[in-house]
Amino acid sequence: MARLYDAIEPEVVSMDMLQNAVESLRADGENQVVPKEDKLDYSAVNSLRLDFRSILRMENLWLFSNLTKLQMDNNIIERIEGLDTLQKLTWLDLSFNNITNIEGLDTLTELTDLSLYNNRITNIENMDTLKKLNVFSIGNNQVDDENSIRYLRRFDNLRTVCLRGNPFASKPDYYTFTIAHLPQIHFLDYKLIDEAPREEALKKYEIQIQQLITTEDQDREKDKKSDDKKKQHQLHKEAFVENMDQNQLFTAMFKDDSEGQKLLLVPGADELVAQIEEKFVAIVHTMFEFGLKEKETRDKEIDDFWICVNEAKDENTRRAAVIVDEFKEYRTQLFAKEDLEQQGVSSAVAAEYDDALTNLRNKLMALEIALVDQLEETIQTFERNLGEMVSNFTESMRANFGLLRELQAFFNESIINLCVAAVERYMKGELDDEFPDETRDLFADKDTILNACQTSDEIHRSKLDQREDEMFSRISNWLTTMVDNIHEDEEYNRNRKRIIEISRLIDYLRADIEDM
Amino acid sequence: MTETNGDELHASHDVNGHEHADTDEEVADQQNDSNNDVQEEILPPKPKLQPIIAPDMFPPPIVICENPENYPESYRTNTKKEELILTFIENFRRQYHYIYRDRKPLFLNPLNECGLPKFVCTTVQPTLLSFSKLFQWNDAAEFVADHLNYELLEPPHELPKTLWSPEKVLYDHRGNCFDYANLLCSFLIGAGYDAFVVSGYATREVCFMDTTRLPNPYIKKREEKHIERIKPPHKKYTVKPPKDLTSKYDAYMHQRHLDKIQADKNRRQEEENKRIAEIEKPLPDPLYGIRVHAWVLVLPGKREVPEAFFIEPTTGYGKATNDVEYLGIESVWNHQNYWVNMQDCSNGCESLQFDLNDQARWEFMFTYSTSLRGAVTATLNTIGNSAILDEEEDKGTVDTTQKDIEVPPSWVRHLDLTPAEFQNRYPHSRKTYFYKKTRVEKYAPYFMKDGIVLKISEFADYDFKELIYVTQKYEHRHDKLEERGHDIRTNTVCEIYLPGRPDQLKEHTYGFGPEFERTMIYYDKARLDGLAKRHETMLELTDYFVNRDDFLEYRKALFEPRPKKFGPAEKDNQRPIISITERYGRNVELNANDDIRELVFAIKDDKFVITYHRDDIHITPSTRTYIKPVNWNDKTITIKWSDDLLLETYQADEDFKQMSKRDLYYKMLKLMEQEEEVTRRVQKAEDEIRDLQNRRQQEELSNELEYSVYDTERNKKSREYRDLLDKRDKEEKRKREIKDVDYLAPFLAAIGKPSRINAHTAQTLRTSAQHDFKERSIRKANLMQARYENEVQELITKQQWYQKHQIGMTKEDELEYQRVCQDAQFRLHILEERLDRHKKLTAEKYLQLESKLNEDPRLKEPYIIPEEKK
Repeated sequence: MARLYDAIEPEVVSMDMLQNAVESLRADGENQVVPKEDKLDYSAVNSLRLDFRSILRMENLWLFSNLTKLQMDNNIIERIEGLDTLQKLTWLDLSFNNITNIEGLDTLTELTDLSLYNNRITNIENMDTLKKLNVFSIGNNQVDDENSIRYLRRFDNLRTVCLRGNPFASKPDYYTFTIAHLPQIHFLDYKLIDEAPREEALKKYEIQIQQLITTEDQDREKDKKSDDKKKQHQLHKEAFVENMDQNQLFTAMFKDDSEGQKLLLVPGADELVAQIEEKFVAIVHTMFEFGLKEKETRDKEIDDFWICVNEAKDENTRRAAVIVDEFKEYRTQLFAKEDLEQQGVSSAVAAEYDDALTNLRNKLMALEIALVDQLEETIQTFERNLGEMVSNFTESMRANFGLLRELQAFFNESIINLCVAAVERYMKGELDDEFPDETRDLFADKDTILNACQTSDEIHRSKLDQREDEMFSRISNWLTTMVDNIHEDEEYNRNRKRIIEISRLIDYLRADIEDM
Repeated sequence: MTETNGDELHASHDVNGHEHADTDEEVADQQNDSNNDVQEEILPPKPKLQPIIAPDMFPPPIVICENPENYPESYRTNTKKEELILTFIENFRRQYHYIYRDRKPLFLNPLNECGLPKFVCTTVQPTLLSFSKLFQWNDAAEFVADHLNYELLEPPHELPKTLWSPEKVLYDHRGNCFDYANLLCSFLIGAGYDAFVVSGYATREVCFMDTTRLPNPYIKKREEKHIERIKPPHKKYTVKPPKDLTSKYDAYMHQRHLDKIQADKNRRQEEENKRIAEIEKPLPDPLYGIRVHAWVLVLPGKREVPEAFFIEPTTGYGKATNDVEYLGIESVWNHQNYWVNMQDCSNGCESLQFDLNDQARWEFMFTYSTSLRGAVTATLNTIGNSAILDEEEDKGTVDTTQKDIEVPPSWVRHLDLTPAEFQNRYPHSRKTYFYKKTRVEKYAPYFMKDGIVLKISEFADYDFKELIYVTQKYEHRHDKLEERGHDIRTNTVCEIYLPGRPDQLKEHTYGFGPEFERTMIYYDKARLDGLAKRHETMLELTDYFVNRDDFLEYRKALFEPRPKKFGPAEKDNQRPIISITERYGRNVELNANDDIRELVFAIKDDKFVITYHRDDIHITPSTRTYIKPVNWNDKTITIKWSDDLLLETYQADEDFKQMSKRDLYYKMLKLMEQEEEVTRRVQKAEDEIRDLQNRRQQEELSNELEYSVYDTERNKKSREYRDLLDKRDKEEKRKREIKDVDYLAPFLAAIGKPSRINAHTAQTLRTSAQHDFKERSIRKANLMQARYENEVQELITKQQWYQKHQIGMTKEDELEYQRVCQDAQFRLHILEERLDRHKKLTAEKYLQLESKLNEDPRLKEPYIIPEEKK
């Protein structure tokens, strides 16, 4: 069926085509009773049919954000693309096209039915995110690979698979292999799988499948571990103490320090480094613990804040809603007395209604202003408290960094002493054998060694400075962003929305009498 | 009422010498006082009240016993032991009387129904009946109160001369307070309570079983749920309340005003209470304090009773031991012992102690308590030696004393009640009680035709004239009616049903008259449509639903008032509907703005008004109003959309999605469909109501009662079935017996049923049995053959006759002939088959017989014929 496209002029997905496609789905004669909309409302369309055309590229579909069903069969499509925004898609038909690779489906997590029948696909791949896949048709393709079948094992909800017409399907053990390796499917090539042949097949491939399961389990375990690790890291990052739970900072200090590493070859440096490292790591660890604890307090504070703010908002909204409801009741009663059709609203009633309306507006506004005041005060308190917490955190951390610097200074001093001693001994020719050639130059004279020490010290110091700066700037950034957001959302945006709503309501209600 | 100090009595004859300093003198003083020293604490004595004279001065009253032979032996005669105990009691009484001359005589040995004196302890017959209901004291007490008719003591200030056995009381359905207490005590001891009969004094109201001053015990307890709102803990960021700008002075003044009103109200209430108390106060009683009464005392220890209490047997109520209605106690007893109260009862029973082992307070007759044996023996010896064992010295051994004074077993036969008697419960299956402004009538189940078991009539006045409210309770009704309350003043009826009705009705409240209003509450879980409540008034019909998949909460229809017509009202026509309102709950799966909260079908105005749910962040719900197209009723025209149809839209937020014209159009079509559906539903609901009324009327007329399938006494079907089963069982049994017929019996009988036979006889028996079987089979076969031939012959004759007369035959005759032929052929066929079967089976049966004969132990060594078991 696949046609060569040089014989046919490829079509482009155009506005007109889409418009027609959308309208063709409607019931017959509907256009006569409902006037056409001026504009196509893309988000209202949830089913689209673009079949039996000569579409070459899947394009211009990104606006249909609520689309659940897309039919693009019998075209000349070569690549799956442009589906990234169609996240609600559950049904995708791309059969009878010229597709060679499975790709571009990663965002379609809701997909349950996928048809790629009659294409040129050789490998089943790139579908890891389609967890809900239920029906999968890949018949009449070029799949000739056991691994492709094994790939389908990961779809727990898969019940129906069509594989016929592939080179693989013509192999003698195709059927047994497939039903043994895909225990979750009920229908293969649209035929129900009986229990008996399945058991037989399972027996036949027992060993292989067992191995497969073992590796799968291992993979899963690994994934889980790395996931956990990632989560852990994220948590540490939010506490601003990432990479501080072990000796990462210490090793980082020496990592880019080529001079320093050479200096460590000085006799006695080993013990010194070990000693320093222990102290260093101990301090870093206290910082780490402190950071986590501080995060907890901050989180609690933030939770507390939001609970209270939401309570206040809910209560205020509720009261306003009661006022509105009461007014509506009053309105119904007021107008029920009047015989609307006969003479309209009498002026007295209109005046009364107008007054009541003004009153309503005042009441609602008063409520809103009260809420604004309340929230402003609370937010300020919160801001102050959180600021205090952050500065506490910074102070404490700064003190700890001071300790680290002192340690570094001590280390530097010690290493200088060791080096000087080593140089002196070197001068005396006592240490000839202990240095590799390249370091030997370093110990040639005192100035060089002192310079090297200084460089190393500077590198170490800058590392510490860097870490410190990063920590402080991030936390202060975090604070400002959050507080700004709160101000923006809770004070400004919320208030604006509410005021608009009130004025909309008043306008709407006022229209009642103005019409008459 | 006694004024004797318990200590005095105790000390005066306590030989072991728990001496009290001044007792002897006091006793002497009292003895010097004459017998007619009338008690000062009680009301001033009236002239007609004679000093109480000891009963032994009376000639024994005659008990008329019509058919003494109907009573068992123990009722008519006293055993030796009983005689002995009576002598002993007489002795005790004399001593008691001698020592306490100013005390009233004790209730010790009244006459039973046969005119025989019997000791009261032996009249108590502990019995546990086979009804689980009587296991709890309150149920047992209620049963006794319900079961008997009360008789007053005559005269009220004297002990009765007789005490009937609880058996007679139970069967006669009547008795005085002593009979009541005795019967109840028998039940309670049987159920494991530590219960005692109390002989003492009570107020007139108690003695007369006058409950008209007591509040109605059946008053519904209306629970007022008091939900205390828990104040949320003050959190760190709780917003400050907005400034309160109201005047404190105003609030203060307002509060003061309210307080004043409240105070006024309280005062008036108090006055009213006082007035009522004045009305309800009983008239002064000239016999106050000397009215004899008997009731039941239950002591703690057994059956998890935490503390001692009284039970008033005439009403079945439990009372505290310090109840003001009880004015004094003379003595208490159970089936084992008798105790005389030695405590001062000048202020009623308030300060009485009920530790019966305390000798200072309770003087007992026999000893059973091993822990107190030493002390007790002494008491017994004093009394016992002087009377019975004159010849013995003071220090008679414990053993002899005990042996002599052991209480004999009860002379009363074991009490028994049939289930039917238990169920009938009341004398003549019904009983009426009176309480304060209330009349209570009780009926046994199945006694009244309409199944009523309880009727409580509440009155506005004390003379039971102005009826306010009637509550009737039913049982076993076919229409599951459980309770009906009729408020006479508002003329409304509230009926409560048990689950199981086809329409799942739970409660039905309705009134009479044109301004009708009715409420129906349903068992919503049993109903498919989740209907929980239906409320109907003149112009409104509201259905309330719960737990529906479409979140419908209620549907309310407004009707136009029916034009007033003269003449008979036409019930059939539906009332015109003004509007129908549907209210839905929140469906959390939808956006609040897409989730409909209220749908108004304004049928008269040709409008639909939709109100959506309100978001948490918005203060107003979105609304949308449609107008029905003009030609909506004309099915032939396709309705076209025009912008006029959407009257108005209000969206709470401008960001909310606007509906496209197409959507609006379809929405409106759907609404129109819905409207039809909803109208149908409302009409159906109306029909259901009319149906219900009719059905209820029919049910009321038929008032059938239901009988449990296990109740074979009443349930006819069940009994028939049971009988059938019994019958079948019997038949089965009979058949089995026939099957086991002994095939050797006739031959054995022929030779005179010998107990042993020899080998030769065995052989003869065997052959004769075989021979007999062969002969019988042949005879049977011959019989069948003969019958078969007969039939054939008959058929041939018939056919010949038919051949001859065929020409002149009517159609009926021909049909008749064909029928006869068919019958004959059928019979032939059957006979043929039987013969066949017989032939086949005979061989088999013969083989069976042979093997049986071979295995028969009687035809083998040692040829013993066992005796037949009869």
